[in-house]
Amino acid sequence: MSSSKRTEGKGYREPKSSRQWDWGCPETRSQLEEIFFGDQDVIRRGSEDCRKFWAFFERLQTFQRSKAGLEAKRPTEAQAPPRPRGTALADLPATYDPRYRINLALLSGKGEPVSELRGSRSQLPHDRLAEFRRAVLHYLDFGQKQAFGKLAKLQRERAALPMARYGRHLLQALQEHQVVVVAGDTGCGKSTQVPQYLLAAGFSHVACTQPRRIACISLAKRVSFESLSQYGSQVGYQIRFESTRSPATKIVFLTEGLLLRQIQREPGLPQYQVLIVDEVHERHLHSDFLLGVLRRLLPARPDLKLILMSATINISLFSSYFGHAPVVQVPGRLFPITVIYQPVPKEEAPTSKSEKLDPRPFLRVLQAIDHKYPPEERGDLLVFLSGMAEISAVLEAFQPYAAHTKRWVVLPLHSALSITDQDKVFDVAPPGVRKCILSTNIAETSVTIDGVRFVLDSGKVKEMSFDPKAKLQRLQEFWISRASAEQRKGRAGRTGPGVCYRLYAESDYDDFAPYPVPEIQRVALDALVLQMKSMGLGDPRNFPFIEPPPAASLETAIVYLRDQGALDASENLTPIGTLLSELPVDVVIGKILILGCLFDLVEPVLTMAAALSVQSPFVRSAQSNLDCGTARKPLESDHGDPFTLLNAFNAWVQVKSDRSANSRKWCRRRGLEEHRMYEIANLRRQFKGLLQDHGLLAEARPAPADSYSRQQQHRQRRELYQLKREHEESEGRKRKVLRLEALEGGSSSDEDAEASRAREGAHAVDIQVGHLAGMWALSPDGGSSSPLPSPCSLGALGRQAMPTGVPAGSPAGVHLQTLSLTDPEGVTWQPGAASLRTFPPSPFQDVKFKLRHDMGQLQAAASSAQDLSRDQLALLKLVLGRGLYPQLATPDQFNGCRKDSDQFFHTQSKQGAVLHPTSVFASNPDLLQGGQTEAREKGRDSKDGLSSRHQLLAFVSLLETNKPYLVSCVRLPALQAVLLFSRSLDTNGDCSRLVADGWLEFRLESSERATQLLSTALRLRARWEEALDRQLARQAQPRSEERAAMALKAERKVAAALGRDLLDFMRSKVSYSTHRLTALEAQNLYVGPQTVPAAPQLSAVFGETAMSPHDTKGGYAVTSFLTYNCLMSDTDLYSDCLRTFWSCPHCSLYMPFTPMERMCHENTCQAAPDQAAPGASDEEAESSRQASALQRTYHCELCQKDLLLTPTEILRHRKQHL
Amino acid sequence: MRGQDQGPLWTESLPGPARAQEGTWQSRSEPGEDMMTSPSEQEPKGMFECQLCGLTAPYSYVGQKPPNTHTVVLLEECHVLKDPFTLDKDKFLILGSPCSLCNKLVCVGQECSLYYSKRFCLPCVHENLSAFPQEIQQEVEKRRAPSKAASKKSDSRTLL
Repeated sequence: MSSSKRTEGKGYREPKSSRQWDWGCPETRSQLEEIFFGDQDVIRRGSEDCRKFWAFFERLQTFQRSKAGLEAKRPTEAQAPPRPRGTALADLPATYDPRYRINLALLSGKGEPVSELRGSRSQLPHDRLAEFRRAVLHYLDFGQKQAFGKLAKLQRERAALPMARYGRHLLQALQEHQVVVVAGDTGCGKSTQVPQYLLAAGFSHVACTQPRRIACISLAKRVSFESLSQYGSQVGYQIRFESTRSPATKIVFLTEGLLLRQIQREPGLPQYQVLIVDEVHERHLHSDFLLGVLRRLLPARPDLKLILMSATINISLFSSYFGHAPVVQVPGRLFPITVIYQPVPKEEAPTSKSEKLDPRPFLRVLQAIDHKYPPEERGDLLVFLSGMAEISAVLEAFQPYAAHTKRWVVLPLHSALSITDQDKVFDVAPPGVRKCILSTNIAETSVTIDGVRFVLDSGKVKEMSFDPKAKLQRLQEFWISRASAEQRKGRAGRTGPGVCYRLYAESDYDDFAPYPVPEIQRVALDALVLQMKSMGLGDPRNFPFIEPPPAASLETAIVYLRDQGALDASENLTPIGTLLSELPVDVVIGKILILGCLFDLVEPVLTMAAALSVQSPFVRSAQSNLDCGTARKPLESDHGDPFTLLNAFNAWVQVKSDRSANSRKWCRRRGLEEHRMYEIANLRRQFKGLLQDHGLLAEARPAPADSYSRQQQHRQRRELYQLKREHEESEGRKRKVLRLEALEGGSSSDEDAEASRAREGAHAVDIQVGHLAGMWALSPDGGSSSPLPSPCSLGALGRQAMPTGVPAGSPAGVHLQTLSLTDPEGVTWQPGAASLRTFPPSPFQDVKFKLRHDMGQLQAAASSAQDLSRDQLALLKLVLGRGLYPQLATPDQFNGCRKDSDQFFHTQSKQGAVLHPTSVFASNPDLLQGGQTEAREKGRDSKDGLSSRHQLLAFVSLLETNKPYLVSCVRLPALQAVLLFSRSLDTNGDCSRLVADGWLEFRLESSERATQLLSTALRLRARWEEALDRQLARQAQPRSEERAAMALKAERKVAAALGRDLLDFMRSKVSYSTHRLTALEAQNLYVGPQTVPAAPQLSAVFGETAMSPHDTKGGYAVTSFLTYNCLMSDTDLYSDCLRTFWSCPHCSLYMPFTPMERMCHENTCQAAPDQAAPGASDEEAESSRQASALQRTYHCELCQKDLLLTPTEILRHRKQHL
Repeated sequence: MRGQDQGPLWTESLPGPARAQEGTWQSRSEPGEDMMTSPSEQEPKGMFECQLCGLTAPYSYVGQKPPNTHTVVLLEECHVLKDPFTLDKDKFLILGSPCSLCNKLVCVGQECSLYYSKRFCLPCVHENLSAFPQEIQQEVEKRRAPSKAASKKSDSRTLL
C-alpha cells in the first residue's frame, strides 16, 4: 500500500489558495458530515465510526502534507508505460493515482439533486468535496484492509496450531468409531479447534462441556470469533445464569453439571449429534459421573458421537473405559524447560503442621534469578504454593526484597482475592522489573498467565478431603502428583524456553503419586447420589464409575439422604427427594427453600439460600480493617451469620435502587465483593423460578401497569440494552503496566494471625460451598491451613529496614502511570487470561443486573425483609434450623469461663470445634452463653446449669483446616430445637430427662413442664409434617386453577396457624440444663429390652399411635422418633409407676397420674382447644382438610354436627366425648 | 427476538420430544437478553477459497452491490462477507475477486493480488509488470523481497 501514499487532491499543491480553508472548522465539518454521513451512508453522523474517520482524516492530512513536500522536489515524470497487449491491460490508467487502487466507489453526496436536497453544499468548493470523498474512500479501503488482515491473521494462527494437522485424522476416526479421545496439552488448540472442525464437517448439534463456567463463556467467545460468527448465533454458551443459545446455535459450550441436568430431563439427549467432554483429565466429580452416564447412554444412541478431550494424562484410562476408543494424540506447543531440583534443607522444613512456612528457600530462587539473568531479559516468575497462609508468608518475605532490588513486583493469586486483585496478574511489569505471582494451584490449569519464564514449585497442594464418618470436610496439605508437577513445569515454557525450580528432590518426584486423587474420592456424595436416583440409574453401589468412590462415602450419602427424608427405607426417592433432586443446590439448602415456602417466608429464604450457595461476599482482607469492621457492624445480626448475609444483601439492594448512591463504593467501604451480590441476585432469581415451576410458589402476576409506565419501562430497558451493546463493542479489559510503588504497601502483609486464620478458613469454605452448590464449577483452588502464630519476623524486620516510600529514585518506568498496552481487538487469545477477565467491570455489571432483574420487585422484597417482624425472624430461624439439622453444635459447658477466642463447641461426631472467625458469634460469644450466664447468676452452687436460655448452633458446614471450624451458624433455643427436629428422642419415666439423637442430654426442672412440652412438640411435629406433605402433594398434582387457589388459601391459613404455634413453642420458658453425653454415658444410656411387656393403657397416648416396646432401647416406642422411658435411670426405677396428683388445665380434672397417663390425658384433652386455636376457626379448619382424600363426613351424635374428618380424626373426636 | 424462545432449540429436524423444559436451567432470560444479533443473519452462500494462498472463508454475496449498503458500490465483482468483526449490518468485508487476466479467484491479500482499476493476481502482475505504472512496479518489487524471505504474510500493514 506504500505506493498509494502519494499525492492526494490538488489542494495541497496550491497552499496559498487554501490558506483560508480549514478542514478543522466545525462548521465545515458539520456540512461535510451532512453531505456524506447521512442515515443511508456507510458512516453515520455521531457514530463511533464517524469519530474514527475524523481521526483517520487528520492522520491522512499530516501524511499527505509531508508527502507533498517530497513530491514537489521529485520531477514528475509519469511516463506512459509501454502499451499493453492484452485487453485487460489495455485500458489501465497511464498516470498513477492512488484512487485507482481502491475498488470502491462512493455514491454519497453525488449529483445535483442530492446537493439541492442537502442545501448547504454550494458553500463548499467542488475540489474540496472531491478531496473529502477521496478521503472517505481511503478510510473505507483502510477499513477493508484492516478487517481482511484480521481475517487472514486469524486463519494463519489457526493453521499454525498443532491441532490443525490432526483435524482430518480426528474426523476420520469419528466416522469409524463412536468414541474418540483427543489428547493434547495446553496450547495445542484442541478446545477451540475441534468444535470448528465438527462444524466444518457438517455437524450442527454439538455440545462441548467444560468444568468451569468461565471457560464456557470465553471459549464460546473465542470460537465464535474464529468461526467468523462473533456477532452471529451459531456458537453459544449456556451456563447457570446465562445463555446465548438460540435455534440457530450449532455449537454450545456448557458446564458438565448442566449437561447432566439435560440428561436428567431427556435421557436420550436427542438434541445433540456430537458431545465433546473437555478436560476429562481434571477428574471433577461431574465429569467422572458424566462419563459413566454417557457410557450407558451410547448403546442406546448409536448415532451419537462422543469426543473426550484430555491433557496427555492417563489417556489409557479413558480410552479403555470406552472400549479402547482410538486416541488422537496431539503434541503440545512447549518450549524446552530446564528443571532444577532444590530440595528444602532439613532445618528450613516445617516440623509440625502448625509451623509457618519458611520463606528462605523461595527467596534464594528469587536471588538466583536476579543473579543469573540480566533484568533486560524479560520473563516473569510463577510460584506455586499450597494455600493462602503460605502465599502471605512468602509475600511478606518477598516484598522487602522486591522493594530493595526494585526488580520485582509481587502479586498474590488465589480465588479468595477480589476480582480486581485477581486481574492484576495479567498486567505487565515495567521494563527491567519482573512480575512474581504467588499462586495456589489455580494457575495450574484454570488460569493461564502469559510471559512466565520461571516456575517455582513448592510441590505442595492443599486439597479438600471428606471424612464420611464425621461428615466433615478437611483441608489438608499433600505432595502433588507427578502429573501436577509436570503441569506446573509446563507453565514456564509457553512463550519461550523456561526454567522450573522444584523445592523437592528428584527422588521425591519419583515417589509422587502418578495422578491427583479424583474429586469423586474426596467429597461428600449426597448430591451425586440424589441425582443418580432421580436419573433412575439404580443402585449407586453398582454404578460403573470410571474409578469408583470409596464405598463408605456412598453409604454415608445414602444414609444421610434417608435421614433427610429424601430416600425411603428401600432407598427410593421420596416426593421431597424428587423435589430436592430438581433443585441445583445442596440438600440442606434445598430443604430450607422448601420449608421457607410453607411459612410464606419466601423472599428472605431465597436470599439466604442463595447467599449460602456462593462464596462469601465478605472480603477476607477487610476483616482486619477497623473501618470496614465499623461499617459492617450495622449489617451484623445476632441471630447468626445467614441473617448477616441477608441484611447485607438487602442493604445492597436498597443502595442499588437508590439512584444517587454508588453501590460499588458502598461495597468497598464494607469490604464486600460486589460481584458476589450479583451472583446472589441471579441465584435467588433462579431459585424463585424453580420453586414456581414446582408449584411451591405462586407465580407472581405482573402488576397491571398503565401504558405510560410501560412505555417508560420499555424506554429504560432500551437504554440499558444500548449501554450493554456499547460495552460489548468495546469489550476487554486492557492490560496495564503495574506500578512498583503502589504495590509495595498495597498488598496486605501485615494482617495479624487471627485475621489470616480467618481468611484461610473462610477461603476453604468457599471451595466447599462451591461444591455444595452442585453445579458450581469452581476451580479446586487450594486454600490453606497452617496457623500463623505471629507476624513473620523476617517480613517485619524487612519492612523496618526499608523506609516507607522508598521508590522515590527508582529506575525508569517505575513511575509510569497505568497505560493501555494491547491492541483493543486482543486478537491474541488466552483461554485462561480471558477466564479471570470475563467478569465485566462493575458499571457494566450494573447494567446487566438491571436488565435481568426487576429492580422494583427486588427492592420490595428487600425492604419487606428488612422489616421482618420478630416473629418472622424467629420462624426463619426455625426454618434454617430444621433445614440444617442434624448439623447442630452445643457450646462447651465451660465456655463461660473462657476467653472469647477459646470457645469450644461439640457436634455429635466432632468435639472441640471452634467458631469460624467471620462468624458473628466469634466476636460476640456472650450471645451463646445466655444459658450458662443465667445459671451462674442464679446461684453458684447450682452446678446443674439450669436455665431457660440455653442455645444450640445450627451450622451450614463443618470444615477442618488446622482446627475444625463451624461455618455459617444460627443460634436456636436448645431444648425446643431438639424437641422439634431430633430423629431420636429418648425419655426417662417422668420425662424430666431427655436424650436427643443419643448425644445431647437435657434435664428439666419440672417433669410437669417436660411432659407438657413434649406432647406439644409431638403435636406440632405431626402438624408440620402434614403441612409439608400437603405442600408436596400439591406440587405433584396437576393443578386446576381454581381448586388450587382455594386449597392454597386454606393451606396458607393452616401454615400461619402452625407458624404461630411453633413460635409459642419456641418461646416457652422452661428451666433445664443441657449436657453432651460422654462416650461412657452414651454407652450405658438405655435400659435395654424389658422382659415385662407391661404397657398399661398406653394405646391412647399421642393420638392414634400404638405404643410398642422398643426392641433395643427398652421402654416404649411412641412415634418413629420418640421412645418413652428407655433411659437408664440413676435415681428411681419406679418413677413411671408413681402417681402424683395433678389437675388438668383444660378440663380441670384432678386425680393421681403417672407421667405417662398424664401425657395421655393431656393429648386427648388438648385436641379440642387446639383446633379452636385463635385464628383457626372451625370453618378454616374444615376447609383446610378438603385436600385430604381420607376424609369423609361424620355425624357426631353427641354434638349434633356433621364433620368432615379422617378416620383417626373421628376417633379423636369421639375421645373428646368420653 | 431470540431470547423469547429460550427453549431446547435447534431440534426441529431431530426426533423426540426435544422441546422440553430446559428453560429452567437456563437463565430465564428476558426477551432480548444476551442478544446482539439481528435475526436476519446473512446466510453464507458458500466457501470462498483463494486459488493462490488457499485462504478460505464463507461468503454471503457475490457482486458489486453488497446487501444492506446504500451508498457504496464495488468496482469489481467481489466475493463479500458481512464483516464478522463488527455488529453493524451494513459493514461488509471483501474477500476476493477473479483476476482480470487469468480469471483465477484470488483474495485481496497483498501476497495474492493487487487492485489497480482492476483486480490482478500477483503472478499476472509479474508477468506483465511493464504494463503497470512505475509506482506499481516499485511496490511489487518491494513486496517480492520480503515475501521471498518469509513466505508468510507480514503483519505490518501501514496506513494506506
